[in-house]
Amino acid sequence: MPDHNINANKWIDLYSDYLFNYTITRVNDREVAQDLVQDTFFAGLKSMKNFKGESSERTWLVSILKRKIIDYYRKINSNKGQAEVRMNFNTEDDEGDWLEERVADPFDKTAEDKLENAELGDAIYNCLEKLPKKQALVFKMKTIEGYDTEVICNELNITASNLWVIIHRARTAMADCLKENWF
Amino acid sequence: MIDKKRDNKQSALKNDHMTTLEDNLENETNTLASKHKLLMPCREANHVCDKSQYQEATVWEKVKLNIHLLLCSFCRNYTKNNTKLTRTIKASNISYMDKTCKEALKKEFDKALKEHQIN
Repeated sequence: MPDHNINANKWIDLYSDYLFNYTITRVNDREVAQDLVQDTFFAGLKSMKNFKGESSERTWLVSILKRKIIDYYRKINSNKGQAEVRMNFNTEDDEGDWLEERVADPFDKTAEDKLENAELGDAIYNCLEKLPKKQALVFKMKTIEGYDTEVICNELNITASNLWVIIHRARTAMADCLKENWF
Repeated sequence: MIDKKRDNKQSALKNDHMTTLEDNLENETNTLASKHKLLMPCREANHVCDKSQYQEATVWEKVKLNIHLLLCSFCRNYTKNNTKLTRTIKASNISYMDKTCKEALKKEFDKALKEHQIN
């Protein structure tokens, strides 16, 4: 399909935040997430000729990233397996600790919340991608990265009132988009 | 009960009508009546609402906004969605890549990309 060309020059600008958010909600460690995203970009570069254009660039990169995340969990799991062999269940501190107490607490909802957060984060980035580039950039800097109005104005060379007009349009579009897909 | 609903609907319609009217008036002159009724035009109300999402609106602006919201269903709706958006984004705990890290990655990647293109 001709509409899905590959253009690696823009990968980092376009996809690094999305991929990073995708990773961090799944591995929960900033450094690991950064490494995984980095690996993904380089792996993508290496296997660029395998890209058939059947999906969008981002979908393709996410599929590489998913494998990287799985590999990461495999690796730490195999480490854990080795540790378990040496584990002594009757250490002094654990005296009287029953296995039942180690089972997940059914009232602990954090796992579920986290999953929902992961999906919500993906949805927000998806909506952001639908905005015009400048709106997306300004909205991201202001709302997600939390920069001051002044800093953004200086960096992008726009006036404050200009910024607020962009923000207003972006917020309206984002609310509409999330309403369709999330709220 | 039904009468009450109808009344509500009618007043909502009236409000909508009023806002469009207000918008029209805004360009010509801020007549005393419109100023008195809503304290600020809808466009300004939305602007203050946007600012208050980032804690950048002054107290006086917020007071004026709230009075405007009492009278204007259109802006009330916008404010509702806008606050919801802020809350949703906050709840999502959304992350982004560290800026310095991103720049370092970009440099390294560009280098690799050039090598890749030569080969």
